[in-house]
Amino acid sequence: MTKYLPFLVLYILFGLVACSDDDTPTADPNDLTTIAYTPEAYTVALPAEFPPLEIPTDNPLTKEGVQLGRRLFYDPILSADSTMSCASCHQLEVGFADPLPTSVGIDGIAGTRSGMSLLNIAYSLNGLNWDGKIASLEEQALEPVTNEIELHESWPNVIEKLKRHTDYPSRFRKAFGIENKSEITKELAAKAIAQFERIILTGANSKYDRVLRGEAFFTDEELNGFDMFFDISPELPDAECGHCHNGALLSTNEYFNNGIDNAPTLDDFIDKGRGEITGIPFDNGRFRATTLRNIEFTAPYMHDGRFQTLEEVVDHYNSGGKYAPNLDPLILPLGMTDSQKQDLVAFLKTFSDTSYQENPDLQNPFE
Amino acid sequence: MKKLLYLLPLSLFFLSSSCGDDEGPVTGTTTNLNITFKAVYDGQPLVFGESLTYTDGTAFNISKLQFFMSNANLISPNEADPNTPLETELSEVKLVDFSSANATAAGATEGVTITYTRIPTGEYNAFKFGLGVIPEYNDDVPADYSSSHPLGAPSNYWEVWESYIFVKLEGRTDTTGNGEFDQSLLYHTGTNALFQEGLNFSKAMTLVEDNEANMTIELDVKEILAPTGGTPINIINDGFSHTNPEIDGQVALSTTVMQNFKNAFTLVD
Repeated sequence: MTKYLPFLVLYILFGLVACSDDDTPTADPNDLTTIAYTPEAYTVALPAEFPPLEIPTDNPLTKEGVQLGRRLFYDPILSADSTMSCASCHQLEVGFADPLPTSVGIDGIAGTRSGMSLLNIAYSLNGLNWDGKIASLEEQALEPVTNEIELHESWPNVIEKLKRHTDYPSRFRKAFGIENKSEITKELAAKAIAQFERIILTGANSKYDRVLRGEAFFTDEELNGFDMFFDISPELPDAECGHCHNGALLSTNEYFNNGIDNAPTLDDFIDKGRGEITGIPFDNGRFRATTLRNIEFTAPYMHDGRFQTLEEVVDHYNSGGKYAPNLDPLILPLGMTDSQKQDLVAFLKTFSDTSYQENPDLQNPFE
Repeated sequence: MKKLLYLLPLSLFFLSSSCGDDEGPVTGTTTNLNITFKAVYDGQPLVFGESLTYTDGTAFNISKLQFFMSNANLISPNEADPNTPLETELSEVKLVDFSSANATAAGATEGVTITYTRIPTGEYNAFKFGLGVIPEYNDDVPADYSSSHPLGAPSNYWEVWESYIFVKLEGRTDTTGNGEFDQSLLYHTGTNALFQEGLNFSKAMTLVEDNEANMTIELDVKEILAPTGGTPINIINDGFSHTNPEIDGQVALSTTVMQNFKNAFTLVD
């Protein structure tokens, strides 16, 4: 046995050297550790009247995360045929909403709901989408990729495309500190998209805000609209708007039946909305109240995009809505004249503020 | 922002410390206390959307019921000064919202439970709270709080009054008897003048370490609308109030609602 000992030692030595070579980071094409991981916190410039942002502790905002999310948001790589991205149905120019009544996916099939505005979506803590089906932005970002009438792709395919990409692996490394391409996951992609969506904020520079700060004045028409919106003047009808659309965000994010469908019984709603999620019949026909910030640009309106103009929306509310047993008690005939309806629309347009579009962090990085 | 900015961190600190029930420098033995509120109508579980019959025969339903509870304290005897009972603070401001619980019959039977943790053990003889938001916090605005905080929800604030909405009672009435709930029923009350202090519920309790204590309080909506021995509110003609001082009768109506609301609670267990 002893005569073989030197060979054994040599064999082990060669073996160790060989193993050592295999573990050398540079030898692994998927290794990312040569790229520095030094994430910087992303500071959000919140409008002064906005409440503090609530950010999940496991997904803090970083510059690298936001930029990765921005790219994923605008990149058609998430769709099966590379023709559509998140931005296809959430367009910067129209308040990150969809100008179509109901969103159309890569196969040309229309869904049943309108793409909601993502403005100030970080504050939607009472459920996302029109019906509150999804609790967090991180969860929500996973859904459109696999939705058959949206991006119609599979996450394993997306992950493979991202791993093969010349740029994304490095960005995942910089954003999340992964050490190997194999660590790219749909959850990390969703976290990045959620980070980007949390910085889609607007609110400081609308005429409404400037008037509240004493920097501008409403026209007579806008002032009438303001008084009706918030029920300030007994001389004018109460338009009842401010109950569901108030505070700095101009939204309560609660669920209401705002009377757009006639339903003699609670089972008669074509789209059951919130009720589909909770299973509670009294929630049927209820949908989330959206923000009115930039409402001028987010047409068409309602969950199915049935109203093309703000005038149609105001006409609807002025009518008192259509009957259902759970019609919200704040939906009632308002008695506004044609002139008063125009005043209300004029006021609604004071919520417009397109300055967010100038934020380079929100713009399409591929243009 | 009505308050100076430097007050914000202070108020947030005090509110979070008082409402975060398991925080604070509690020493000695402690236990948990569950306080359950059950919304009923004429003693029966109130299920939102179900048709109810009012005292005058009008059919109506309720779709929302909530109230702010302030200065929730446990009372205990003070041997040193029997005229000045001791108070143990449970919370400063809480929102009791029946929206989820009373959406179903099962939930309505269960009620809404608030669990206070780390309550010092010992003898207590009452629970008390105020109805509404105490003026100290009613001067704040939702933007002063995080969105998930009860005082951070813009839906619970009415800018015209510069006040939180102390109670919400909403539903619809069938004014013609044809089976359609054709008219709104809505009471939103607020402003400091309507804050109701001193809701007291006597109950002798001995809190023992690691032995949860329970208390159940019913809120009977019939007592809000048609109090026993009092004058029923006409829910058709007086079925709507935002407590708008510019509209005749709304403040008086909301005052009645708040006083009735205060008296509509009963300790049942």
